[in-house]
Amino acid sequence: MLLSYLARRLGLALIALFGVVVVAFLVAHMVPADPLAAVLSEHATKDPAIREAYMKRWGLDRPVPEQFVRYLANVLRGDLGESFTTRRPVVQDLRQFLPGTVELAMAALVVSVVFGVPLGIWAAVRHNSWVDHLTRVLSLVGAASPIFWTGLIALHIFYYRLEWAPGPGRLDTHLQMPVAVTGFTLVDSLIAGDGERFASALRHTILPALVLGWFIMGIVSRTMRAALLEVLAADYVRTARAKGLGEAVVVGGHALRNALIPVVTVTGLNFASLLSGAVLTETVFAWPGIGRYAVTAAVRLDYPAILGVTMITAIVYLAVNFLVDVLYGVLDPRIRVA
Amino acid sequence: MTAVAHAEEIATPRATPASSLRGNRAFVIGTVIVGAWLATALAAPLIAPQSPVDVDVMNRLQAPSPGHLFGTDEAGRDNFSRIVYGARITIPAALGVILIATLVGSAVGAVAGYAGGRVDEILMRVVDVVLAFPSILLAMAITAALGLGLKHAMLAMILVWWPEFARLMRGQVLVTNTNDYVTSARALGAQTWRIVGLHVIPNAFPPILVKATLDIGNAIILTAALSFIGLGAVPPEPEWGAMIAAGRAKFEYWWAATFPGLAILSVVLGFNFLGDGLQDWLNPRLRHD
Repeated sequence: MLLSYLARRLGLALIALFGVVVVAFLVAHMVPADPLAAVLSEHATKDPAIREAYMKRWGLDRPVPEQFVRYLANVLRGDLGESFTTRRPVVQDLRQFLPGTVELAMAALVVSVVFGVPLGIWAAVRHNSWVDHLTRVLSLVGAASPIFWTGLIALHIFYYRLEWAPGPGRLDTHLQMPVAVTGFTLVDSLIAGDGERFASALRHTILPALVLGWFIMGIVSRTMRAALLEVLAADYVRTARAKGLGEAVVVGGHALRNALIPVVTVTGLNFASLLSGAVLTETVFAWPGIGRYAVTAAVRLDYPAILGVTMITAIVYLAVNFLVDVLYGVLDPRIRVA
Repeated sequence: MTAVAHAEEIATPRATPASSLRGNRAFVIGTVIVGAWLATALAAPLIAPQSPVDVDVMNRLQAPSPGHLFGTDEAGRDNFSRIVYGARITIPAALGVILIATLVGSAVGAVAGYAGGRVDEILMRVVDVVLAFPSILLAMAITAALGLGLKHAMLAMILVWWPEFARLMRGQVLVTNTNDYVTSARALGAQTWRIVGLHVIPNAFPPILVKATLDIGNAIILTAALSFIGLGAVPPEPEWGAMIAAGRAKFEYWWAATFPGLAILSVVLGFNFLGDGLQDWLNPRLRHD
């Protein structure tokens, strides 16, 4: 039963993955502009001989279905083409920049859970009190704020006015990025045993992580609150109270464990929206990640690069969804049938 | 006083839709904010004290003052006037995107849900694929492919957005189709179009309307974000996201980025309140707390 459920989920994920490649191909071929104009000089694009040579080199003279098959084969081999701006294979760029984005997203996830879960518990326990209203306002404003603006305001207050936080960038300007082992600057500077670099990287992480974390903290705290309220109304909680257990034991020991299940799910599903939120956060904080890479690429009409980022994030999204589905199936046998 | 309040409390469950809307705080707040912004957009020439685009180099980056409520930007343009006129760009763009996405998505979803089988399977796989992309990245990629500009950004957003409505509509059709009254209508020989028109659409309308209203806020943020990046509206157009981008590196001139951001925040809050209020009104079962 579980195996066939997993097989079906995996099948759907693979079909979606194929579709992602199709969409990427379609977008690249939708380009009304001359694809050669982006790479060749104005003079060269007018020369029929050069044009023909380049069309041939990239297979642009072949029929579209054949181009697609070639594209698919390249993608499967891990070849996403060459970026027009960096003049490097897109895969190489992604390998360099993806860890930075994951690092930022993880830090933001920690922020959202560390603040969101206690706030949600507090709001549920003190139902309809000022804490409850505060979390509601926080999540309303968080959901309605453009993250690129929140980032700028945070920089203005904590960097420019108060000078509590460092300015944009991954490290202080006099420091060099550590040798990439994991690609995570915090981890790599630890591996290198460089305390100054680690401290600098950590200080540069706090503000962007808070900005991005706030973006989903509201969702986490509201989910926690709703789940806990529901559990607190359950019979076994009433039984626990009837046995004379203290409020701390009832909430902490009985209710919380069950209420955390939806929170874990919602948080996991929001990892994908963290990745898209990271695009703008990175831009504002000059953070070396795939988001900033994608923005630079998009503005310069560097399709291979932006499609590479788009594809990799779609794959991450599908993988996370698949994992959540699997976890669901394991945790709740009723879902496997549906 | 207490007696009246008490009477109202008792009357609430059987109150008419209109009066229950008046007691719906989220709906009232949302209506006021959104109404104020729509009025601002319509009456922009009457409200704005100055031209949103006229350059005044003698008055560059002036701090807020009675003459320039929100200060001036790097070309000496009046920020207040620009924000007022900006309501004519971002809000209609978001409304247009969501309207078209709703229509297209609902049509596709209705076909999928009604046809079932192969058609349904194929359409839903397409929906899955588009939804697998983070919307901002796919919108960026499409805008880059189409060429920069607000119109292309809007088209990209529609392409990214319709699947959400398709999925919702399909679900609604499937749910409605299992209702006994639809089965009996079909048994009585009602034509498909009659069932769709009389039963499916009226049933599907409330959740679609709620989602569309809530999504307008998201569309405003995405429009502004694309302009902020440099893919949507470009200066000197008074688009809010583009204005924030122009003020981003100017920490000492805090007003340049702060006020357009507050404009976005307030109008998005307005649409979110409106959507929540509609939700409470149209679907009392989901009423929170």
